[in-house]
Amino acid sequence: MAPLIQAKNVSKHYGDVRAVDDVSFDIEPGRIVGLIGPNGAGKTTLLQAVLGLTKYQGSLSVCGIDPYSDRQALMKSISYVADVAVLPKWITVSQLLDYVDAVHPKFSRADAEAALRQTKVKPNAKVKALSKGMVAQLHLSVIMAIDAQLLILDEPTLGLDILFRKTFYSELLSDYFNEERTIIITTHQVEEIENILTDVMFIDNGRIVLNETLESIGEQYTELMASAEHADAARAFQPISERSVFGKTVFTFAGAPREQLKSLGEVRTPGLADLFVARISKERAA
Amino acid sequence: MITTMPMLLRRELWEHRALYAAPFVLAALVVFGFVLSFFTLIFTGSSVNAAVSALELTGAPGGLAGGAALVGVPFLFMYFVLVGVVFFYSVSALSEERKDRSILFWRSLPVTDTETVLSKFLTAILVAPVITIVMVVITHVILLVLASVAIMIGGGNPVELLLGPLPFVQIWVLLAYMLVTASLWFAPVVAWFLICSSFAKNRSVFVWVFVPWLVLIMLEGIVFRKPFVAPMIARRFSDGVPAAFDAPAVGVLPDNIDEEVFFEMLKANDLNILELIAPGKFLMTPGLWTGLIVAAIFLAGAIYFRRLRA
Repeated sequence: MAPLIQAKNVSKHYGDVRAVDDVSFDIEPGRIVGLIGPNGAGKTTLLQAVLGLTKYQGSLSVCGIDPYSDRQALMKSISYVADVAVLPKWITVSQLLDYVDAVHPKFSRADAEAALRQTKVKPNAKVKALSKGMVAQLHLSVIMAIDAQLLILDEPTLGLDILFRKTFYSELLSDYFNEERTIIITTHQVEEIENILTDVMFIDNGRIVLNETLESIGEQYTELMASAEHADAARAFQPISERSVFGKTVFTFAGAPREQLKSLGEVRTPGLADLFVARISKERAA
Repeated sequence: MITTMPMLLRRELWEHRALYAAPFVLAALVVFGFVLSFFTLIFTGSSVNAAVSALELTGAPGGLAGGAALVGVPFLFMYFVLVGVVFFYSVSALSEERKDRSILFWRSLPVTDTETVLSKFLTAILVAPVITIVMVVITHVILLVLASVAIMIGGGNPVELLLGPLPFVQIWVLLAYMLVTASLWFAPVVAWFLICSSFAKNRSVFVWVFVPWLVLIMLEGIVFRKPFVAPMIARRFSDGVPAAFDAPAVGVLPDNIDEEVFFEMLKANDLNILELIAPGKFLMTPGLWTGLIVAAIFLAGAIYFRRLRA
């Protein structure tokens, strides 16, 4: 199957700042991709390029469409949440559903209404009168009632409480996701989406520093917690990072033999947050 | 485009309720004012007949001046309100969505910037005037019914004294024609408001609306002996009505005409006020077309800046 997104040498410069710097990648249909990077890494700029919101150098194809020159066609195949705090204050819930229903051929009003019945959001309420969490529920209910090939969620749960975030991600996986759909998520709370991702991309200084499936991360990366007497032996395997935790040292290895490391201490697959820190600090040191 | 445009126009009415609320409130005030003045006369001891003649609703001399006022005054008020509503609407139509960041939501849906900007332009030059003319007609009907009832209570025949002589349908067509021509004539002005609204930061929209022209006028006053911009703007505001209506009629009705003659003409149905309109001449006026070209350029700019500023 052809990749859903094909990026070849995509760059975006703001003056001397390279927000996105010669990035190439493919995203296949049916994946859930976490786009992870520190603030100012270029995540949002890259997503804006994918969404046709900004011009770029290089070539980019999304659902077979050039996003910048044919944005309207693209918006029929994809849906996105740039920020959940952007619904207009004056609109009522039913007006919002009327509007999206009229302008979006792939919107299912019934789905959105069903999703909203699970919440406290009333059909005749104005956005102004809703709490921040309810506005987010409303926005996500509308966006997820669009039958899109690609769903892009840029910090969808920013500022929302933990209960909402957990429910949202589990519903995203159980109710929305299927093998024809692709989801790209950016978030600061990596650990919350770790278990739903199929792929992960780390981005720093406008460059992709890691682009792997979760499976291959499990195969390639190993985290070792070793006591002080084994530390030097562990260093011989050339860890990509090390840090101290409770008097022990935690090493992260790329491509090291897990069986041999087992004799040196406790071995497991690193969490994405730790792996991210390890990769970024290595990248920056280089 | 064809299917989404009606919804885009509805969306504008949801957001900018002043578009219909302002003329509605005004219509209510006009009706209330009429009723109030009538009952004030009754309560201060006038008979119904005396009140009717004090308000000059019927009969000569004074000849239907009140009847003409019933028709003219609501329209005049409505027109001023329309101008104000369209001005405040156009200067905020494309800046509010950036201020409250809802532009991020609107642009996440398959609606082009062109459709959005056009919907705002059409709201200003078509939807708002249509609302105005509908409100004017409704207000006229209510006032005429009230006046007729008053005349009947006084023992008169309203058809003979008021409804017969006043050529309503002609008046309504005339007023609608006036609004249509005004919309087309002032399209570049509305488009200028929209490009400012699309371009300028929210607080500086008003500065951009006026200051560039003031600066141009001042500069050309210093540099050139023959100014260009100032007369151009002056012509835009003075030449619209003369272009759309036949010249002898302009300014003749209803101010300078002898009231008695006017009433006799009305009664005899001698006065076809639709002879005043001159659509052929209007369409042949170069100023109309240069204005529309300028409007198209400003709208293209508004579309460009909406995309850029998002």
